[in-house]
Amino acid sequence: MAERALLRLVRVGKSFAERVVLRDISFRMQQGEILSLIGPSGCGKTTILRMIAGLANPDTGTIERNHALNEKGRIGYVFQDATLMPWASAEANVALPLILQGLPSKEAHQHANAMLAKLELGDFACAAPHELSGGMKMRVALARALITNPSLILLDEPFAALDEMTRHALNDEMLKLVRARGTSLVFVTHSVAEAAYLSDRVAVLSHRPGHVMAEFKMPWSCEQTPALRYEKRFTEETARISAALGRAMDDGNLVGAA
Amino acid sequence: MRNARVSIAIVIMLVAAWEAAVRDLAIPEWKLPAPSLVFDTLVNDWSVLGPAFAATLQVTLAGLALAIIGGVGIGLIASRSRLLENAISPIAVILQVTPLVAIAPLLIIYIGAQATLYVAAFLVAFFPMLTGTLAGLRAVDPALSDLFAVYGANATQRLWRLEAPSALPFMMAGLRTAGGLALIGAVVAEFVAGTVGDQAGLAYRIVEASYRLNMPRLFAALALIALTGVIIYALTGLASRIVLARWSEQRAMAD
Repeated sequence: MAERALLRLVRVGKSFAERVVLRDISFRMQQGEILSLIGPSGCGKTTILRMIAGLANPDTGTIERNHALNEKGRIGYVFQDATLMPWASAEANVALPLILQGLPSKEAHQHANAMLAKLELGDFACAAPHELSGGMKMRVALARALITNPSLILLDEPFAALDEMTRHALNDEMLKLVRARGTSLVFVTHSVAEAAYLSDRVAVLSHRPGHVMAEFKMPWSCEQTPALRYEKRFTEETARISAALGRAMDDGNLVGAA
Repeated sequence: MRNARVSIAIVIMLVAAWEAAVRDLAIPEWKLPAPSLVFDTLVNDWSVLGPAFAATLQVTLAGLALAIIGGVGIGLIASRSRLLENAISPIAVILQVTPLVAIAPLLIIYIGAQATLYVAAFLVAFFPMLTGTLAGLRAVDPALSDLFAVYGANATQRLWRLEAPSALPFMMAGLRTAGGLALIGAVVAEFVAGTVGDQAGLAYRIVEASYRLNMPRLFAALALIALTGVIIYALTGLASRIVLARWSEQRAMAD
């Protein structure tokens, strides 16, 4: 074993009541790696993130976290909605993880302010969440996930509700920030193009009970530029992933018909 | 501001119409006194009505304050466990559904007339504060709750940074209901308890005036009770706006 993995899932399974949601999920991640999970609706992608974050426990199998992940604040989480505290300013929302770690409020707010500036929200530090656009709220959520300088950030379809231009811009900004810090990402998305663009690897999950049907290694690790989206090799990769995703959907339909 | 002007204009028009009707139709004052006479009575009888006004206001605000402390406190305790909530809720419901007028005579025997006023105002205002607090503490956004769990928030941090702010709009809605109810509680208890002398409140003055068929004074006392209600409504509204100032407009409106 060359390097100790940051995270390793070994034959992880999860059921809710009688319903098996996940079966034999196995993958491993190195520090700094970006993995996308893509699959049909309801195949348990969110459940995988929740288990990695420790919000739920697997019924079978094991999740091995590197000790780097076991301290408070070493894992960041970005939800489908921005999930901001509506009573708190953008800055206070971003400062929250630091405050929960026990940092003095003043210091936490200074860090939060600096982080907001990095995400081009410096002028909106005092704004209430309802004064921000959807894209800006997501930026705040991203800033909050980055503020503790975590080893791993889990993202659950964070940009699904945004328009394409905003989504592309946020993808590029996020990549720049996490590459600079060597942060790992597990990124759940419905968009094949988004998964392909962001990731080192893309895992296609099957219909419920979800398991990893196919895994694709992206050939452009760490060299994404906006122009990549229009290159031939990008189109080819997304076509391969789409085909696998199509098979995953078909499997589900066959099961459904039987 | 424009809404306020319309409201004031309507009240003035109604009072003017009342004044005109009493004069034009020559309605005797023991049937319906004119607003001008009610106002004169208010000024002339202030030595009696003023202390009554102060007494009722004091009982109402004290009862409300006790209800806020009790409702929020017990709500917080009950929200910590289902068992506690199940233990407390039947008592709260029984107190809520039993008409206060029916409990008041018992209270007078046990604790005396003066204390009954405070307890009555407290009892009716307590329930909306309790349910508001409980509902609010349960209305925490599940995703935010997960977020606090991911960052390893302890129980104290959850309470002050997540649950309490989430509960505030509900508690404020409870407060606005409780304010009106506390006044009702105080007035009903006064009717039943009939405290006399310096402690006599507005309700007692109304009963007294009705026995004497002193209609102008009855109306004057009634006007002061309405004023008490308006004051409490304005105070709770102001408190609500100040406390919820940081909340988004949509959320504040939804509540």
